[in-house]
Amino acid sequence: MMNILSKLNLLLIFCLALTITLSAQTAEISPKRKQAIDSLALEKVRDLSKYISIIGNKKTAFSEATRVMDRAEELFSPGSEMGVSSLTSKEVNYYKVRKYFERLMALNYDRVNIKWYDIHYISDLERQPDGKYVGVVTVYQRFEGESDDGLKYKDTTKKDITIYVERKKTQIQGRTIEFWDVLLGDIRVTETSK
Amino acid sequence: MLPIRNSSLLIMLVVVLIGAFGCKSKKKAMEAAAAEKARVERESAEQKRQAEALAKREAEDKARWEEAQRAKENENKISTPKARLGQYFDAVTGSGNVASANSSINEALSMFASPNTPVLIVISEEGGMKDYDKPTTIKDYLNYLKDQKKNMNSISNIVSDSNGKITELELRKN
Repeated sequence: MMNILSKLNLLLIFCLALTITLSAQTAEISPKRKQAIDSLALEKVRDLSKYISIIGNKKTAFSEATRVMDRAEELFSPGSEMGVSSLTSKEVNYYKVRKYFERLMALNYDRVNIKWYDIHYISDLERQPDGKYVGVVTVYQRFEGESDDGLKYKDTTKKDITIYVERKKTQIQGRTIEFWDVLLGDIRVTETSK
Repeated sequence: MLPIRNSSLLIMLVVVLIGAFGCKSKKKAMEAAAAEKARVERESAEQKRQAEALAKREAEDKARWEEAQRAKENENKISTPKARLGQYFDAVTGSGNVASANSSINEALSMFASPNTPVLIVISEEGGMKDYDKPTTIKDYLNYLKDQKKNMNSISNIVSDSNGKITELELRKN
């Protein structure tokens, strides 16, 4: 009889632990909080857009461009890649983001203007089994490069950016602060047009 | 018969004399009344002028006091750390060139205990629970304002040390 009771106790504890684990995994945040996180992630994409514009601008001083590259790189998860396409080739080349920024800064034009627009989610941030949220944002990039000798190049590319959002903790002045860490992943080129 | 005639003449003379003297004294009385009226009017006008001058002085004093109060309030507003910091944020965001932005950044940094002073940004709050963006430092945040040229957060809390230097800043997304 004692043996059966102890087995029942063990089963009860197991069921309780399973319930707690499952409820923790499926814990949903309220629509208001979710909306704030969605907006935060879109804001990071807009921030990247501005950083790319500054890095590409030939009027930006080298020291400023380098500092901005550091800030832009911080937006990405380690190892992320950026796709680069051209109207002259069907191939899309992928570079680590730092390398991409350096190439962008060194482009052989006298004037470069880069603008991102129509930034929106094509796949909403969804909670994954590991607790992270993953979504995809699409942007359109208008690139215009011009040289004094008359060389001009313009194109528009559609890019898909994977977004990762994770709840993290840090210590600030001895207090534990929980925050949402938004990181951008690979940026894939899906269309290139004039 | 003669005495009666003489006495009539005498009576007539008396009447004429009385009439003459009566008119003269009436005229005098009228002149005195007019003089009195003029004096009263003069005094009334003087009192009125004095009252108006006093009211004008009081109005001017009140206006000066109100102006001084307004100036004092404005000075207080500008001198609060929150107001000063807000002005620096606006200056950095709105600066037309990098040199001007960097100058404002350096001035703003003088308000902080360190360039690494933590900056927390609340993105939402529900039921007393705050959701934060990734914490940053004041130096990075000021450079962020310079690069992005947008100031989307308002100052919600400032923690300062005994020297009045800011040791922690909390912002809130608008």
